[in-house]
Amino acid sequence: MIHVVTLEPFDADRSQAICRALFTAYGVGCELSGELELPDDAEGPEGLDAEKLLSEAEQVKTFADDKVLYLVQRTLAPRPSPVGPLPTHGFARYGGDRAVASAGSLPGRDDGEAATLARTLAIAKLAVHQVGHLWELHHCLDARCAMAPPWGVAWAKSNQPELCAFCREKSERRMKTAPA
Amino acid sequence: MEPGTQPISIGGATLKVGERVVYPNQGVCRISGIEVKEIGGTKGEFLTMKREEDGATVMVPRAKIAAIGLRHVAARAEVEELLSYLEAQADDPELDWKVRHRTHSDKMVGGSLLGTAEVLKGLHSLALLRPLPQRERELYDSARHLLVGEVAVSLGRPACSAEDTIDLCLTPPAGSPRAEAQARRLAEALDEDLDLGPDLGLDEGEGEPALSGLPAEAVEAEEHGAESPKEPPPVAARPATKRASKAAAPAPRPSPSSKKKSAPKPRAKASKKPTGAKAPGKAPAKRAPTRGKRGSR
Repeated sequence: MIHVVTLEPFDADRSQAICRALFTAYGVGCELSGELELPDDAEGPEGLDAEKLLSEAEQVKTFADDKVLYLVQRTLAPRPSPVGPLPTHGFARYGGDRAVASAGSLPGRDDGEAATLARTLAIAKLAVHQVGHLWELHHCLDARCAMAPPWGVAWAKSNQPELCAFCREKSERRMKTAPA
Repeated sequence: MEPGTQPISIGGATLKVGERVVYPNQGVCRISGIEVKEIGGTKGEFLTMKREEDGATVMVPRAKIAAIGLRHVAARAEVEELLSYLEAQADDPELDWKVRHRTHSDKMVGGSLLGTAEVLKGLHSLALLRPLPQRERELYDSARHLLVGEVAVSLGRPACSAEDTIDLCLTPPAGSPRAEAQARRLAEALDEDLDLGPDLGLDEGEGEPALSGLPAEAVEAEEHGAESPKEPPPVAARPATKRASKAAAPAPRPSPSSKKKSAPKPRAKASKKPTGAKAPGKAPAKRAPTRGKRGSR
């Protein structure tokens, strides 16, 4: 089961669309588990600290192999690395149970019906990406796959929140072999 | 180490319990001790490790430690060197699948950080030209997994950040000068109209007649599953690049394997000029029945 938890106000239709996309991508139940408060410590000058947010966010009741996805509106602070600041659209602990996805890190605005729909799809794709990391999926070579790096040129070209066959099979294998 | 046993050293440094090492093709392991075990009536010393990823126990006979290529986790300086390598312009991918398979296998078995990165980068640059066959896609994922694990440990960062660091080198952000340069290079490579047919393994699943036409070594490799396109990934059905479109489209070019066919189909004249819509070809039409045949083997 995937639990979607919003840490900031989210449009109900958009949240439902994200749940549907997660269900379609992974074939496991996905429910909207309500809204929780954003941890105060997670706020930083450049945005929310994703690692801190994950470790300090309030928890929802889950079972052993459940996954929790937190959704935030604000941008996440870029993480430091030897090659410069890392674009942070979301963050997940590989093989863990919690991930965060940020709507604010994606380009575009909710101007008009088409733009709103495109943005919803983009957030759903990001949600599928971050949950994929929880099942230890790595970044994918297929530009249309939701597991492709979100900052790449090709990622924005396809808004469909779906996995390529390789990633889908791998996620299914992971789910089957996950420790109960 | 446990009392009564000789310390083990690799690369001039003694291994200590709790230390992290890299086991080629397995990933980062933590040393849990030296155990004396009796196997088949012979007593021997084994270095016992726990794989960090899943906690699996790995036991290596003392005499084999050097031979398998066990090594310390790369230092930060080595990782920074590796990132510079990944960031640099990629060489043209190796087009001969046999050479590519042999080279990549050797590098993965060798288990060095740079060797694994070379496999990753080589397959990444090849994937920009055309979708990878299933086995190479798996190899790519395996190389990525090993690299992410080691870089994460070496930099002391979560795996997610380690992977993003690696990918920021391989896939520059949209709009950056590096992304534009990469797009230009890719366009040039596609315009060169390289012969990406048989050497890339597109025609390898041609069944027995084609197989018998290969040199003995290649046949052996084929029998051991060396050839990658056992089952092409579904992404091949929706090519991402112009080159991939050409590869997926029926190609009129003759190949060594197609020459051996008893009744070759009349072929259309191939245009040397790389146009988006290339003439009908053989690739999907010929491979489709073979896939089922090879799959049943």
